[in-house]
Amino acid sequence: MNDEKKLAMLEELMELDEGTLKPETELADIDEYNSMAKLSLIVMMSDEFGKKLTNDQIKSFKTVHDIMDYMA
Amino acid sequence: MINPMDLSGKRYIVTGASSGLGRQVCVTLSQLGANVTAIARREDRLKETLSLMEKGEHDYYFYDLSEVDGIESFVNSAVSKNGKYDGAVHCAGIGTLMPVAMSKYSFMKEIMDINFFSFVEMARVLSKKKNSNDEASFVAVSSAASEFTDKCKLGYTSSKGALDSAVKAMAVELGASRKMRFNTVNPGWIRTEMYNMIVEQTGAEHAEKTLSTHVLGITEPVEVANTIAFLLSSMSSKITGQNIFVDSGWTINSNND
Repeated sequence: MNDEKKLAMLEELMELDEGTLKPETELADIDEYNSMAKLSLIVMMSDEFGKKLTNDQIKSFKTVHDIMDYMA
Repeated sequence: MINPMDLSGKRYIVTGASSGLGRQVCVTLSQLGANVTAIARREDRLKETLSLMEKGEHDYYFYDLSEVDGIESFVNSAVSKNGKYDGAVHCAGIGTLMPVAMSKYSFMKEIMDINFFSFVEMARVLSKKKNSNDEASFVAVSSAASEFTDKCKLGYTSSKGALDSAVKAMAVELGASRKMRFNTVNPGWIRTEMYNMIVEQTGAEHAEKTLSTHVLGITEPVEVANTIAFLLSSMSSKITGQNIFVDSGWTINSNND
């Protein structure tokens, strides 16, 4: 999956406008990256990528790129 | 001396028997003298449950309750093998957290099939006169979450709320003629694998915060199993159509925020 597709998925998950997210965006700077978004991320990783994601792993993510790496 | 909770000679179906609360219900009922037909999907874990139970005329079936259409023939074969039952305990359930925006029909259907429709179908078939004794008692494991919910619990809360209502309808319609009873138990947080899964997803702080509002602390599976045994026994002979909260004081605590 290419980076554009990954960014689009994350934008849809957080209900952000297209093109809002950049790989280098700090997660702490995204208002929409809240507890609901994090739970949605767990579901998306499981459904779309077959990957288990724990709360501890989520805490280790600092930038959008960290999430994209995990999506690989 | 008498044991008022004695279930000797009684026979019950228990679903979700391979783990958590279902496993403990099998053990507790066997200790009270009941014969148990244990149902679960996972063979190795179901056998482990059997090894923990007191001796009795127990048997077990591997069955995936999401196959709701097959429950009737499975119940019929259990009855032809074992004779009439005295009720059932529905412990099978999934607690998958899912945001509203992602709770598609396919997900909602899956959680309703396992948590709700499988109980209704099992009770529908088992409550027939040819399949159960008079005064049979049915208990579905609901949840305090049917009244006290949280984000990402649309599917879970809906399925448990459906159980809470279904036992009332069944209690009215099937109680009058054959004195059958239908109730739910509604636990708060129990120390089971489902609890561990939720802690893993939502984090230890969230779990600690929720547990801090459980007046009596986290519930052990046996503490809910004991209430279930009471609801099966003649000690509760006039309790029917009720939702019994075994929630450690969670839902009455005004310190909840």
